[in-house]
Amino acid sequence: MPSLKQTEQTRSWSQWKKNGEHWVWVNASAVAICLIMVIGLIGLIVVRGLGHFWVNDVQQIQLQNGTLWLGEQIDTEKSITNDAKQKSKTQILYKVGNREEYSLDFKWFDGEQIKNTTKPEWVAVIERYEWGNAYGKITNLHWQGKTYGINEPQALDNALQAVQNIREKIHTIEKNDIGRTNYQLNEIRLERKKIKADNSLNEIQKNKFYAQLYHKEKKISAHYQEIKKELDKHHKKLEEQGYVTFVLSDNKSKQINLGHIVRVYFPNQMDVVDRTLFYFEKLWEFIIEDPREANTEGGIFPAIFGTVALVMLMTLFVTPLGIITAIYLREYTRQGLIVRIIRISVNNLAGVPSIVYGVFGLGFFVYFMGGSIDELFYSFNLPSPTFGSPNMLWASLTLTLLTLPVVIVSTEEGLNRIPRAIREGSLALGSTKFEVLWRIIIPMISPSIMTGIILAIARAAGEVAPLMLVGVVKLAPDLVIDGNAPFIHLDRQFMHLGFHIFDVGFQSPNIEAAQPLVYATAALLIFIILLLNITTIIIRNNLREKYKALE
Amino acid sequence: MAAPIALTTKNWCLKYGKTEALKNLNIEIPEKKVTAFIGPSGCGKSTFLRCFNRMNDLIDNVSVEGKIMLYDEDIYDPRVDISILRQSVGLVFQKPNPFPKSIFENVAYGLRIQGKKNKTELQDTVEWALKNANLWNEVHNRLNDNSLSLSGGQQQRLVIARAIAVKPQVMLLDEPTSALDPLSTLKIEELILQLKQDYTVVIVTHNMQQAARVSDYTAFLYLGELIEFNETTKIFSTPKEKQTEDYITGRFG
Amino acid sequence: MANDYFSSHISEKFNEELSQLTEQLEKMGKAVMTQFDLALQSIEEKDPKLAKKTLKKEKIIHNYDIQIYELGYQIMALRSPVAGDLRAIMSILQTTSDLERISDELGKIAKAIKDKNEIPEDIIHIFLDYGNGVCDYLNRTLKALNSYDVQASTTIIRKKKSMNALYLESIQKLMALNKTVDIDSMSSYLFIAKGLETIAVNARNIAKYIIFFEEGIDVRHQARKDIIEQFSQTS
Repeated sequence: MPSLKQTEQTRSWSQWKKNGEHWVWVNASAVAICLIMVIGLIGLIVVRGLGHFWVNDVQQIQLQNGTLWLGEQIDTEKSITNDAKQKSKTQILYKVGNREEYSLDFKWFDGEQIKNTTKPEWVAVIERYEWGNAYGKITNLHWQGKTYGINEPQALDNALQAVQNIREKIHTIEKNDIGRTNYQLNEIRLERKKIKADNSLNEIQKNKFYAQLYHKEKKISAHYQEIKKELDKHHKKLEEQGYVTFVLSDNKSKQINLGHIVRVYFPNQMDVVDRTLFYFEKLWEFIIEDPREANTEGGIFPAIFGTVALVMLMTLFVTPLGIITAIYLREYTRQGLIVRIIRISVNNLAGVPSIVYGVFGLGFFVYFMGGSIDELFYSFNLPSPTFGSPNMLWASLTLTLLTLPVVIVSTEEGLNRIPRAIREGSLALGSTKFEVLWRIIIPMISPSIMTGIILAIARAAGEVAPLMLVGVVKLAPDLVIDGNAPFIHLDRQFMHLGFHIFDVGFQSPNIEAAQPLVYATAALLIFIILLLNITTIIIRNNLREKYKALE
Repeated sequence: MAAPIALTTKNWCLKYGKTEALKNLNIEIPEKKVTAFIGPSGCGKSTFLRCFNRMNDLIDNVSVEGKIMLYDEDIYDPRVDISILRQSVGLVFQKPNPFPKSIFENVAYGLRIQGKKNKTELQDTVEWALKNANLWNEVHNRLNDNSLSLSGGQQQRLVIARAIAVKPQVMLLDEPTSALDPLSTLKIEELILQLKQDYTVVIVTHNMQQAARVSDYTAFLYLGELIEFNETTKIFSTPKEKQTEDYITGRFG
Repeated sequence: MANDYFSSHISEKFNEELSQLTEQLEKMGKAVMTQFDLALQSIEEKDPKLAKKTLKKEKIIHNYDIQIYELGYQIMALRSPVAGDLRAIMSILQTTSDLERISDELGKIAKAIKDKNEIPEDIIHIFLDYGNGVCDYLNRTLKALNSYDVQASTTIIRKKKSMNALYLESIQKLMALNKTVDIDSMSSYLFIAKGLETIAVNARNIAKYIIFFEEGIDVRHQARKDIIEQFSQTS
């Protein structure tokens, strides 16, 4: 009897091919390459982005000609020269700060210009609200009348804390009280416009309303005046806290008002633990704070908020729309030629470039629908547009259209997988077609719907081009959701992380300062999308468990 | 047959498009007895069965002629509410098809559709239905478990419980044990013999021994026609028609 | 039933099994007939050796009985036959039983003959007359069996009267010779006559089984008149 084992002869290349092993290798290699690329890209973004917040040493550079500079080493570049003497030239980039003195934060130095570099202990970095960082030496502190030297670091901490407290008070008043009063005054203004345009009222009635409004306005204005007075008081207090005497690397001395200081730190004195704590502090600031200095400093909270709000709103619109469409296509219409055409069109919509959706959104949503709403309901406010301009509502509807095909297709896939027996079983018990859908089928396809939503979120969170036309701005003063009734303002414009990357990276005046922020924002965007996806996936997996049945 | 009649068909015809599937069927199904439909594949028994609760309405190109009466009502009368009809005439399919819900919710489904919400009422009816389907003892302590954790035979009994929870008058069983192992099959057959005390049962089966064991009356259908209808004992000992004899002895079909 | 009744199943194996059954039955019938002929011959030729041979035949017939019984039982267990097939097997098994009893009676007759050294000529005549009548009766029955002939079976049942008359005649003739024979012999002769009568009754039973198989009606305890009324086409 022939043996069951393979002989040497059979273990040949043809046998290998017969097993299909060569395909396994090809596929595995392809997957490996993809993984490497993805990990590489994400790794690059994360390292560069999150590395931005790490405290670097500040070096003191002595040039050949004796001048001293203070700065953080950022980058090194080698360039090839035609010089016979040396093959390449090295250039080193330093962040030297003190923009009000040197007009640029960053400066390139020739490698051979530099005689030596040291890392003095006394170097202080002062983050300021204007003009960026200052690098230098603190000689003394004047605070609330008293003078403190460098041997009393506690005093500096106390002073900065006091400044911080005042700032917070100012911030609260500005955001809450002033914001509210402004909003109320605006409402009164709109009300007045409305009355003016209302033709059903006669002069006497109108005057009565005007009088009421005037009365209200007066009260609010008075309140506003009070708040402003207090605010001014605080501002004055802030200005008068004191100042720090600061010596730059060229021995120029200046005074930096305490009120302008965000924070002070001594980088060369900080050990790993200090730096780690500082890192998290800066990271937290990045996520929570508003931006400063034309988006080159501070945090990006409004962009995060805008992105998340946009995605949530889009999900809110696309889910019912997609489900209902899919159910209609599969359950209610006759499966004839027309339905097939519709289905093909839906599938092809997924391939339309997103900028086309942006243009469509602008034309249809913003101008046509927004314009109509303005004419019908807000005519008193014209020619100022209320809804007839790009805003959150139109942006989310545009993205809804963009991701609709994905949701429809996934839902239809889910519907296809439901065995006919389940439907018949329900009908045989006396349910109507709608009851079958509502009670049995929709719960059963919820995992597929969630898949559709996951894909929709993934697509929408990364789109930037259409949003630029329908609602995203570089800097938005208010958030779409705030404490003023009606609390959700869909007629406002908003900030978006994707757009922020584009704007900061390519539209900002200070390229070197912007670069690390671009990476940081990109890393954050990836992280948020990941978070949204993981949440949805967990929900979907729970639903799958529940309805695991089918397989 | 002096027994009162639950279902009557008069010259019943059914067509799929142009193809005649059921030809001029006249049958009287006695109340509270088990009637079996037997016949070779494609003879129309399942199609015929589904006419009794109008499940064939779901298929697109079906056209029907004739009358089917449930007691004294024409079930194809346009004024008939199909939901009410289907709760009066329950249908159990060949492959058990419980919903992916808990055991309790499966049985309560029909009741919820009727609009019943009272918790106690639901619980009582579910318990009663499961007891009558001979499933209570096996599941009473895990009513909230997913119905798909039950075995095939238990699932089929669950489906039967689900059908009887809405207290129908007639139970239609379309090859209810084809997908089950022999032991579960026998359990279901026992159940059927119990059910006939309260419901009229019509069962379609490929298995002639099953028809012989379980039914009081048997109808032999061939190519859409009713060849013979009689008491089961007579059909299986001395059938009148040669076609019937040939089929049940295995000479064709 | 059509002539190919036992070969028209879809299952070839079932057809073979049924054919086996009927063939065995046919052979058993033939064996019984052979035995009967032997018995009659042994009476005619006053040959005790033939009588012994007749006795030996019983064994063959017993074997047929056992085989048919087992085959019939198997078919029922494995095939769950219904309608005509079930009636066929039931009739066959019952026929086997009756054939076996016929053979048994023939054996007893042969034994009685063997033990007798001398049988008077008149008595031989009486036995031959009656015996041939019964043999012919049985032969007709077995013919009817092979072709499932209801008419022939009905005729056999109708002939109950004439067969009874034949029996009474033989008894009367024997009793007439009462004075010339001793008590023991007379009781043996009466016994032989009774045996032949039993054979006739069993043959009639077989005819009733044929009717059951063909028509599905159990006529075993019906009156002769009723059976003739139901099934005779010439009445």
